[in-house]
Amino acid sequence: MARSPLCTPRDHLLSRRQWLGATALAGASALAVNPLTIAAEAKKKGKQVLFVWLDGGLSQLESWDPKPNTPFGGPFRAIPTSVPGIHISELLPNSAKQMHHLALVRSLCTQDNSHSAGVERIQRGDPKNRGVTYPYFGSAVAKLLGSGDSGLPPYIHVKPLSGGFMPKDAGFLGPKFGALALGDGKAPDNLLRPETMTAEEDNERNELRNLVDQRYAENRRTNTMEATRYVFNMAAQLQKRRDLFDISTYSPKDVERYGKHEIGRHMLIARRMLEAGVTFVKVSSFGWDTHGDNFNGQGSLVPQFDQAFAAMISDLHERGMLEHTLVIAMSEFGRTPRINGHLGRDHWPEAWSLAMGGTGIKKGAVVGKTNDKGTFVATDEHDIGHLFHTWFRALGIDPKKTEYDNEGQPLPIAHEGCKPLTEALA
Amino acid sequence: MPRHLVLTLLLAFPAAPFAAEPLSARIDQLISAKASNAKFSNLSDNAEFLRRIYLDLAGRIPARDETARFLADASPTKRSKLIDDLLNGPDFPTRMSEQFHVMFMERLGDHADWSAYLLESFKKNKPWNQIAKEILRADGSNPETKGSSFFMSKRLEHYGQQTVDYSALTRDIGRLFLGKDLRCAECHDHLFIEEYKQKDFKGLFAFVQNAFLNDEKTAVVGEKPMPGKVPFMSVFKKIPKETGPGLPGGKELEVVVFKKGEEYAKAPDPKAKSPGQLKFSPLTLLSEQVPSKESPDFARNITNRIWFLLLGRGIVHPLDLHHAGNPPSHPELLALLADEFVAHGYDIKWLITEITRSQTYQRSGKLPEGVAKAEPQLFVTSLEKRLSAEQLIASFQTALNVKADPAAKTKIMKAYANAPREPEDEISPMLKGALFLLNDPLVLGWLAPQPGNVVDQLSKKPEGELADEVYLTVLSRKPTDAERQTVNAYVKKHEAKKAEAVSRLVWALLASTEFGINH
Amino acid sequence: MPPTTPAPAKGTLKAAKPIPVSQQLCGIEYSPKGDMLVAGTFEGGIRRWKVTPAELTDLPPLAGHNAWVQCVAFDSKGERFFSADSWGRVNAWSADPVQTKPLWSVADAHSTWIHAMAIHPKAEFLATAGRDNIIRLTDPATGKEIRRWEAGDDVLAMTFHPSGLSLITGDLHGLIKEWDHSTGKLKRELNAKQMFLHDRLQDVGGVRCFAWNADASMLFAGGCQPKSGGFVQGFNLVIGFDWVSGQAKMNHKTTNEADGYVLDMHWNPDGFLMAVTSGQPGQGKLIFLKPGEAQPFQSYPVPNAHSLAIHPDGKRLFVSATNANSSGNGRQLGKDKEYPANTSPLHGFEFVG
Repeated sequence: MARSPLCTPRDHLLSRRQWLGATALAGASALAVNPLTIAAEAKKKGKQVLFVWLDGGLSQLESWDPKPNTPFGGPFRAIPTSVPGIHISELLPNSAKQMHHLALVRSLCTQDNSHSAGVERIQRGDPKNRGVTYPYFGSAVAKLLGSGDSGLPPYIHVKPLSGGFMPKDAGFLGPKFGALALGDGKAPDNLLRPETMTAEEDNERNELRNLVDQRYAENRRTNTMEATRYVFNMAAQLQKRRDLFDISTYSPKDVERYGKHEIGRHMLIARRMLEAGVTFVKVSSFGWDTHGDNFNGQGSLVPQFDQAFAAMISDLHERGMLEHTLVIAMSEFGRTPRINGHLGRDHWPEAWSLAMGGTGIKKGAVVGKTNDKGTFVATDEHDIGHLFHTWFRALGIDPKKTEYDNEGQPLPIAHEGCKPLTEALA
Repeated sequence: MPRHLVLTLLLAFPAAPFAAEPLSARIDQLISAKASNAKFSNLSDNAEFLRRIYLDLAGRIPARDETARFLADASPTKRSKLIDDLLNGPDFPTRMSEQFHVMFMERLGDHADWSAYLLESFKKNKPWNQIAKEILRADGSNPETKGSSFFMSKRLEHYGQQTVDYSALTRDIGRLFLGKDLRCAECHDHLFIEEYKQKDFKGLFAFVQNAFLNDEKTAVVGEKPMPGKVPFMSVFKKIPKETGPGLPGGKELEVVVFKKGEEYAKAPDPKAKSPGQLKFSPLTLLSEQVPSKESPDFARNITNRIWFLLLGRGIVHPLDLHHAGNPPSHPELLALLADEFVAHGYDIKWLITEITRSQTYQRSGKLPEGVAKAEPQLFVTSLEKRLSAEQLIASFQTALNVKADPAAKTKIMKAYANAPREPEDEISPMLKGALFLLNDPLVLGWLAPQPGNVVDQLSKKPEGELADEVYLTVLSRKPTDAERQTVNAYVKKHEAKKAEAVSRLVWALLASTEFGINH
Repeated sequence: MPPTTPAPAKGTLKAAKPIPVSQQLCGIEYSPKGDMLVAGTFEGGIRRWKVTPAELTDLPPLAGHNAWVQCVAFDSKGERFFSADSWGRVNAWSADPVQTKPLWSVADAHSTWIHAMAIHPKAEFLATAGRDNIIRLTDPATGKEIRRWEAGDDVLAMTFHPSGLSLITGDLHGLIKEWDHSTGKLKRELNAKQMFLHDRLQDVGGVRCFAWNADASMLFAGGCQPKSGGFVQGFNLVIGFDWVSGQAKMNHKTTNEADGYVLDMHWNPDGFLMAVTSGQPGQGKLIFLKPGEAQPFQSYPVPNAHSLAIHPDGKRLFVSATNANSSGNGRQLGKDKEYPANTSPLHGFEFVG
């Protein structure tokens, strides 16, 4: 029986208002840090994450785990990479040259074959259901690593279509740890102060506003005033860094290298955000759900990802940023080995792949393998919980010693039934 | 009087024959009984009450003159009178139709017929059971009520390859009309909420599974004949089961199957885009079963939702999780409200009158002396409420004496409304709203000093009156001495460009937390 | 669905029971003598069948390709046939069923997927093109390259003008280009851009097949008008161009966005087009279409049809299609608990009466 697209671990027994109010916005840390982790705290300073999300489902067979010349292999070849013994699809020629910076996981076996459930469960790390809504990985990292000293929000999401602040990513951590989404990579609407207003006038009106708020909150509950202040402060921070959004200052050479297509443009913006010190940058690409004409479809899509992703890996390496930046590229599931009647591939959570690299990740590692036809995982299967353990470890966060504190309710940061993939850790 | 009501009253108040007392007084008694030692906030002052009741019942802040008049009125009964005036005033039906639109459509979309239907219903103060019946029946053939089908028709749309999301429709009926979110009982009995059974989900699903959108433009809904009971199976225990239509926890209805060709009382007519009328129509049954006195969830849900609209928190909270593991903060109160509401013919206006007359509603949002934290579920201190984008539009218009054109309204909606399917049931300041206030030319344009506009008029006031006028106009109250001082000092600093300074002062009040919520 | 009206001239079309094939096939083709049917597979193979009016008999398969063998074609004399695969290899084979070794083989004719192949009417050239944006002319006798030039796009369909005077390609972006194959120069472009859509990141659609009418006064291009990528929702689309003027004279577009691509077409001498459509899973059709008429005059359901082979007698045809229930998300094992592969049953049809 198909799993219900609605039956996700989001049902909230606790009032959302409880966590919205008391925990997240009162400013008190919702993170219980064990004294043992204090040393690690200093070490993980400056860690960053690039999370590339190919929404709809990258085909593992047309990317990281090709099975050429088999019934399900499709038309494309496998090509050698910069790591002897690792072959990937011919649709990824540029990434193949960066393979020595990357690691592959070919043993993913996850729960959901629907988008609505899969997208959430994967990005929330599929924790055990405790009746609370877990944060997306970006919100989790924003919470656990903080925003550093960039003066920018800790979690920025470069995505197609509309933008805005996406508080729901944060789950029980509270809206403060939501994503600031840059719709089509553009600055949020209304970012720029009108030209007719001087900086001094702007400061004055905001000082007046803060004073009104402060007076209002005297003798009252302060949550709302603090939440308001938080968003106005975020607005001010972004306005100071408006240079980041000015595409005209991007080098034409970079624009060419990353590709003038959407994912190329968005990846380049992501690089700038990482360079500016944003803790977690997510780049989303939509339209990977190639149920029909998969081979022309992935044949059109994958090379665009390849160009942008390989340029990013190369640049992060050249700048020394891979030393402290974790890079992940994945979807909510892979695609069926079986090629359907309209030459497409459907949803396949049973055996699929992802690529990762950078800080804490072993270069050139391959975790797990699928059987000869690529239908199922031939080695140990790994659900997303294992990956969350792996990524937290790579960032210097020990999921055994770190937990969330949800209004006194201790909650593990990753599924306690899962373990890190040690063979992928440096 | 239904038997369970008698029972509840007897259990709760065996020795309190206070049936003669108005509901508002009984509300206060039950709130007090539960509060035990918790300190109550004072009653709100007149300005606090005035702004609150205007936003709740008229959907906007009071205009400067309305505020001045009310503050000057010495009558001891002026609050009750204002409540009555607003309930019978021109803004109330608009306010209600907008609020019910937000609550029931959750920003899924708009339809002119639906808006007109809601507005007309609240103008007539149509009983809630009748409105619910019309919405759930989704009958496009009656010109008087045809807009009612939009709740159903919008949820029967499908996008591209996506099939119609009947699960979400089932869930929304449970959530919004019965207060029960059965989402996690679709594939198996709910794992944490014992009384949410898979059969409950499937029983509700059975009512709507054969509904379809006959015509998107006119939002007409049709039904295919029901072939029999709905089969289902838990993903854990794979035992085949089946059920006919039925409400959660209620009795299963018999499915009457007619011979092929004999299913319709009125045959469908594709040319006239008429879906016809089935002899056995599950939607008709749904529209009869849900809003009935036999369905206790129905009255509890709506009274809890109206309480939430007025008090900022449900007696059961979250609003869509009525179950034993999430009990009401005030069980007797919820039972009383629901039963009285039914006894008064599902009269929303009456219920609102009683609640708003209570001291509980009229309490201040300021904490009592020496109290740092007041438990929200005790209702001892008034709670803040979110303003909908509609309330903000109306309040900007009132404060600045401007008229927002459709483009302006769209802009404000975009800045303040939630994404579709995200209930607007909590205050959650958003970056887009802050940036809109800071930099969007719309509000800044309204605030730019221009001959005759509010800022221009305010800036011409003498120093002794300016601060009071600014505060009365925007925040619907008089300023404190400290606030007066701030205003005067700021204007003095910018003597040469006084109007611009006043513009910034007014902006600071408009952009403040105090303006942006109902408190 | 039974045929709605009798077929013109050659009587009623009668469907035979589909013949199971244990693999998925790319394209099928009759030999000019009508005694052999050949097909490229998804697994680097070529299947051959001996054809009699009564049945198909399996002949030994041919090895020597990789992955998808999308193109198979006989020369006009029927002595040889050629095949091209998705790794860029082109092979030539004897039509003698006993021969299983290629006459010649060129491994790197193209660097990647060969989508289209055409044989010059006088068999002077073999032309291939595909994802590498290259058009290659090959000597059919030796496999040697005669000429190669840039096509400017991913070529999905190709044909020679029956006069042999020019080569025509149809590409992903919906351009039809007429080339002087003796120089590699572009002669003109015809517009079939309706067949292309850029949806989000994805280039969708393209000209998928060609057919000429009897006197070569009209060129038909088949594909779809895409509505979205991903699923590839789209309407069947066939555009008929007046060859002399290059004007589009016929535009057959269906109204159901689930109809998908027209993937193969042949001209019936009785004055109509026979075409197969991909459709969403389980759908797909064999349609008969008269130029000038908006809708097919006959339509037979054939699940996810991909290729159409017409017997030289014009009375028999085969459609390679797909088994039922070929799609679905997630783990669905077959009765034998094995992960199921799809197959391409051959649907035979015959004009009777």
